[in-house]
Amino acid sequence: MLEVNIDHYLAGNLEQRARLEGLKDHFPIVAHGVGLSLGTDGPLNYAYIDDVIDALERIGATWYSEHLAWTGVPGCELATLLSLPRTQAVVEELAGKIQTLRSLLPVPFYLENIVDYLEFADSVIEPSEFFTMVCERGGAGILLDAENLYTNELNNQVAARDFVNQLAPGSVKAMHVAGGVWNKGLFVDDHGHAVPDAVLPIVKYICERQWPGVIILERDSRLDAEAEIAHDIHRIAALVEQINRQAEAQNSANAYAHAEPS
Amino acid sequence: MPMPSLLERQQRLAEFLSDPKQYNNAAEAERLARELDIAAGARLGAAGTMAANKRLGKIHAVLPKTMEILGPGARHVFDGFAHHYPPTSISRADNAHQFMEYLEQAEDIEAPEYILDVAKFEITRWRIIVMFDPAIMVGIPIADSLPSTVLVRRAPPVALIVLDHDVRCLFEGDGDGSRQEPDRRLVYIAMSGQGEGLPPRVFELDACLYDAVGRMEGWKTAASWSKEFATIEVPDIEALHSIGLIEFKS
Repeated sequence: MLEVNIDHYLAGNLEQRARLEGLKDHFPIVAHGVGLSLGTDGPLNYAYIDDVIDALERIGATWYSEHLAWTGVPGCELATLLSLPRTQAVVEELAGKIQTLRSLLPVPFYLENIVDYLEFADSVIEPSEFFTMVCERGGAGILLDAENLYTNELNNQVAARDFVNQLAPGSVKAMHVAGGVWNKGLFVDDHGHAVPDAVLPIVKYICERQWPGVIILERDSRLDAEAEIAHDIHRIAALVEQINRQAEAQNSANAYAHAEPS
Repeated sequence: MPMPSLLERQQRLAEFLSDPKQYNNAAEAERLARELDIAAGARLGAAGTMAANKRLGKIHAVLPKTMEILGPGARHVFDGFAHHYPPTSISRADNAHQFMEYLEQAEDIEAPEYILDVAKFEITRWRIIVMFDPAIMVGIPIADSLPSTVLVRRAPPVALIVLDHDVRCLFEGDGDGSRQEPDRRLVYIAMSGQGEGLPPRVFELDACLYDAVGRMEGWKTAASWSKEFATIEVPDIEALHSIGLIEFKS
């Protein structure tokens, strides 16, 4: 499976778009966006959504995902995913927007958790509860980013496993895994470095509880570090194999226990 | 004092995080954090730096030679730029175009006088690549001479720029460590797209030809164009076609 950044498609020339459209003949395609800015306090950007819908159909995406974040306001586009105050009013506002968005989209919509570099003092809802409420009320599936959970654990002391424990079973449809780097005392998810070793146990924890259908390795920069990327893929694949083996062994043990005469 | 609305907070944050003069000022960050009820105001500086690094990366992608020439001072120039030009788009080309405008208007940039021409050259090249559409390269091959019924116009994937310096030398022989100083003279440049990831072809035209190609927007016969531009002959038009600057249709 390949995840196409829908904003790269939208910014591409016709030749680049044709190449991306051709990928569906070789791989299942899903689409991921960074340009919607769902969290901007104001109406949805319908012109942008129209472009996304057209792009989803052209690339043959089977779902579309975005972030629980805002990236700008009219007249100023920071292109950086920023946090929101975790309040009931924001939950209601976002849930309504997601419902509207879903009614327009030709494919399922998934929402992704971000790294919280900012924290609003008037936030009254816990991060995991806020994320869950928005997803449930908006009807969005969850794209859970394990590395963002890890980064929030490092930077904000929000325990990744506690966050995962709050999610309804089966609500995580897909998972992102990525690498990051330390910068001036903060861990930054730059999608340009190896997946930290400490992220893999979080991936395992999520898999064992949610069984997401897909794990996507995100990589946006230093794409020439092929050995590093291949190593990441190998480590994740080995982990999934280990989880599957453990699950099969557990299932066999359970079946044996049930078959044993009392 | 009542809490501003979420949109007002976001607008104030966007303005702050896009301006290095603000987000690099720790006291200003603390003041804003209090005003907008943000915990850990020190994080505002980091968030601003992250947003700036992304924007700088976009500009670098479109204007690599410009940034290379600016050298270690590029970050300082970027900071001056970002102070005056808030980001209005996620597009690389739009951000690079804003940066080029800044180079054109700013008076205190420490850089060679040809830096603006380098930026113009690079952004034109980028736009040619982005606007290239293989489907519109429908020109028909002409064997020997141009039939009088054939219609002619400027090929769509062509851009024209006038530079004050011949900066083309800076884009030749990359990697050999040498850099030739561009001549200061008026240069009339035409670029045509090639597609398939190849860079555009670059041609220097004389002023008359440049003017003619610039005006050849609608379909007309070669004879009509030749009549319109007294200095252009039909063989000139055939030559322009051979280098992809104009296209034919019957």
